[in-house]
Amino acid sequence: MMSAIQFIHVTKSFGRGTHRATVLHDLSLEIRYGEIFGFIGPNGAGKSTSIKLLLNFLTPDAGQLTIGGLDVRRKQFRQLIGYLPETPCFYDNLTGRETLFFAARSAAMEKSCASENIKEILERVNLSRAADARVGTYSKGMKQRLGLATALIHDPEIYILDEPMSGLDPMGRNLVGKIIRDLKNRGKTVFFSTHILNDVEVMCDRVGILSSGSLIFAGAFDSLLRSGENLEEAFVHLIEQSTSSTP
Amino acid sequence: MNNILLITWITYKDTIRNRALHGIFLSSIFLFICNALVTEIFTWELGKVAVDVSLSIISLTGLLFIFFLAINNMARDITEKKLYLILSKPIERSQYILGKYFGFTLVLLLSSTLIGIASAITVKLIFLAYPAYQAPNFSWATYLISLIFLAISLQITLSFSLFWITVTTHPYMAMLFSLTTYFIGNSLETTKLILTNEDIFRQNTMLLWLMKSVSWIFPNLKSFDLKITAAHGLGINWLHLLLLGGYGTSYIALILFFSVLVFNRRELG
Repeated sequence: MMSAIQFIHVTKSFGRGTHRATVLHDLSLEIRYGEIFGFIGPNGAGKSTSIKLLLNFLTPDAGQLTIGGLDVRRKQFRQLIGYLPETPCFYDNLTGRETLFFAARSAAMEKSCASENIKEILERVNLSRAADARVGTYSKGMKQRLGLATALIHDPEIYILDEPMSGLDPMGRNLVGKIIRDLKNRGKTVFFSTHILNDVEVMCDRVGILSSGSLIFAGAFDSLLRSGENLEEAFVHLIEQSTSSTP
Repeated sequence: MNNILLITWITYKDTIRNRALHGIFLSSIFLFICNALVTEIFTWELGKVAVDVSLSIISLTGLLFIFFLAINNMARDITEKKLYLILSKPIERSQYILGKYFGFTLVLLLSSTLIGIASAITVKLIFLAYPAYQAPNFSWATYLISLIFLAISLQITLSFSLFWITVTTHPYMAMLFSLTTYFIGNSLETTKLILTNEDIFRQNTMLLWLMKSVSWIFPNLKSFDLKITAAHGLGINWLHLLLLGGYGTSYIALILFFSVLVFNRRELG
């Protein structure tokens, strides 16, 4: 069966000459349809760079990336995805409803269908009352939920969420957790990066651990956790092992 | 809805509600009131001064909008990653650039029209108060034509400002490059005239070659300035205006093409 997301021997460097630094080393990873995949790693491990490469915001030095079997250099793949950036930023003078209208229409939704979906999504992310307020007046958590709404609006098959819980209060985190679990129940694919190991433990089918630009683990929890270890201990153990083996 | 139109729509809505735009607009209205009051101190060519100042206020308002609002707005799209919201949808980078350009153009046209009406009212009031000072051949049609060419000149300025943002996403650098391009574009014709008429420079083939090269790269903005024609009620050469319009439109198209070319190669990290 075709993979939902594929990184095939991806390498990425930044800078030039002596200042050139490789941030991703030969990353190969496969995310299957219908699974929730947690992408974890310490700060600066290359998680956000991987996601930016996946969305074609950055170009890899080597390797190939595909979404739904389509090369990400072709814009057609964007119809298949919903994306939430780490810190979603919007046009401050547009209202939440207008922002969602733009998101829906740019994903080729009909006007009448878009209006119906917007109403439903606003309720789902608990923003109905602020729908006609300008986004500039929204709190950080509200912006995060609006960002999630723009990803959900056209009901795509694959979701790429960069730190979806960041900036959310416990109520917001609970809400986003529910939405992600609901997506799984509906057979959608979710690829998300996070620092919060508890979220991964509760929601993910499989995890990928990135350290200093290299994938040091990809698989199910069972194979990650050694007897008596919890996820945090296993994570720290793996990171320490990988950094001590790096020359 | 077409993707370019969608970007145009959000750019227009976001900009038209921007308080800085309202501030620029109010300042221009204030300048028109000053124009009506201050023109009285000129004891000669009063009507011509009124027309000249009115058209200059429209130009100044447009430039303030481009240099302080449009450049900043687009640079923030890139630096604050607002672009991610747009480019994660099935929208091409070229559609984003064109949508932004048309969105700003719409705001520029709307504000130029409103300020143009205010300027026409000011000029009319001054003519009514001092009928003797109106240029004998003054025509509102010429005034309108000079307004249209002023708008084309602002469109050219907007297009190369967008180009500089695609080259350097830093708003101050983009503003600096845009201002430099604007000043070169405005002084090009005069410099060319000096170089080709003065014997000392005429001998210097290298300098003339350099001048020719610069005049091919930078837009000749001065040629779009028809303030004197409108103020003095001078005759219009229609063929010249047609060619000028064609030159302006082609220049905008070319600059937008280069902007897309540069932006397509940019890494949006």
